[in-house]
Amino acid sequence: MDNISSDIYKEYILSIYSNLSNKREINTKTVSFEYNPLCGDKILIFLFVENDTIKDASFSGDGCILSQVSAEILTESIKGMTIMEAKEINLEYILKKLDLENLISPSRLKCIEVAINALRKI
Amino acid sequence: MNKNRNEIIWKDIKSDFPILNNVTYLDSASTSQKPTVVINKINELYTKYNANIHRGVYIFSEKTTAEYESSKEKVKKFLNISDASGYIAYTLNATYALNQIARMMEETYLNEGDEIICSIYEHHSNFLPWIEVAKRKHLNLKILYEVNIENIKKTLNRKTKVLALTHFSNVTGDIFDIGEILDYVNNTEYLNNGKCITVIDGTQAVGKIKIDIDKLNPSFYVFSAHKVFSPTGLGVYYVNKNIENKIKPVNYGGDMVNHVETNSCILKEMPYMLEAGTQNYESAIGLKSAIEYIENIGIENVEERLKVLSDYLRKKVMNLDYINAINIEKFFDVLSFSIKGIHSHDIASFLSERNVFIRAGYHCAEPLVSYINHDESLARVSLHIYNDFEDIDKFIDSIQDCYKYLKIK
Repeated sequence: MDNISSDIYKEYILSIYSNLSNKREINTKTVSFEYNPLCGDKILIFLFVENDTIKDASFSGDGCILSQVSAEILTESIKGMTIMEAKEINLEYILKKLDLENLISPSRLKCIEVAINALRKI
Repeated sequence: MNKNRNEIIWKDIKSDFPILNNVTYLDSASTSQKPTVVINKINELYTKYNANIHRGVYIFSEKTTAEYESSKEKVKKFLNISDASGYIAYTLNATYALNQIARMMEETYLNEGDEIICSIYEHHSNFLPWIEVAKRKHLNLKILYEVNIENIKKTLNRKTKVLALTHFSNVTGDIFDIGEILDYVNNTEYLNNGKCITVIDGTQAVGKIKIDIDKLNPSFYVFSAHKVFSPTGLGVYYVNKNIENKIKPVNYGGDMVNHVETNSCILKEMPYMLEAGTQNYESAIGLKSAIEYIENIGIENVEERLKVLSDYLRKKVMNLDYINAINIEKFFDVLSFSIKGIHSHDIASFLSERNVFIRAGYHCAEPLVSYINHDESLARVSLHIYNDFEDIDKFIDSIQDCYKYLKIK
């Protein structure tokens, strides 16, 4: 791409962002949302739970690349977990999955935390 | 004394700001950088005469007090405020000043059924205090969506007790014709002489354009020192003498009283009754030095330079058809924009990796951003005299890279 590069917006991150398979709404009552305190963007998390197991998870709401990609990774990671287990997923887990450890400024960490915080409100 | 415009070497101005070595700082609407003279002045305070103001009789305290008081005289001269017209009071920041004003008016003047008018262009600081007062006192809060004299004439009425307006929008870069609006208020029998309190937020204006308070004649005019090359922690507000009967301190404590008994006190005269506790004399002394710095360049030259830079930025941005630029034809100094498919925070982070610092989000004016940009946050560039054409070129190059690299959807 014309030798343009970015430490944060790596090809890997952009490829997840260009194909957000969990960005869809599920018809369920198990839903919650959170606002990004940095910009006010809202992320909703939807869970389809059966026998105490998350059978499907998705999200909706527009936002920056970091918030969207972390919501995608979070919803993908929690499929098959109990809600209790899902709520234990933390910032470090998502950062590691995205290979973004030590690269994100404190203010932008809020973008990554939005989906986690939305899920924890369920 | 204003310098002749041709005598100013803007490259030298940039080198007056030591932090700007190797970074492109385009967020002066948020806070300004500080010139060496101001930094040195603060150093001088702490190494040569620091002591609390208004309290000691020893040399240090007398010197710090004199510097603090002369800072106010400097502000008055800079903004053309005569002793007959009103006072300058210091507080923590512009937000705090506006809250104090709203609380004072709530306590001394506003009654159920009265009307407050705020423009949609207000920073949260000149919006939220009035929303809260309106709720507590059952007042009607009306929003002015277009700030012009025709709309003012249509909207203001006998019930209007407060008109809260920004002089210069921190989002659209509009400078409103406050003079014409205040002229109307001051010449309308049922609004003038403090019947309609005019609260002008000059936070973006002071230090960038020439301001003549005596000519404008508002009830209050507020700004923040840190946006004028000074340290943080100082809000400045002008109080018109014609509303002195509506002034009652919100905060009580040290240094604002002449006499105290167990159940009462006698307040100091204006403006000292508004300054409870130890004031931020460091920032006040910094502000004096910052105004001297601006005076040495000349505020007219500052305004002209910002116009030239704004026009250059306007021309460059107009060439990029993917940028949705707010108020591109008219903006002065502050340009907000969005790029379809790229979030404002991603733009700002991408640019930050290139040492180009811009702001993103709602700019503490969420109702306005929602109104003008359909709830989508905005990236924002704002200029000051230490910026140059090279900074704007670097911003444009980085935006072009950002668009090429992040435009996925």
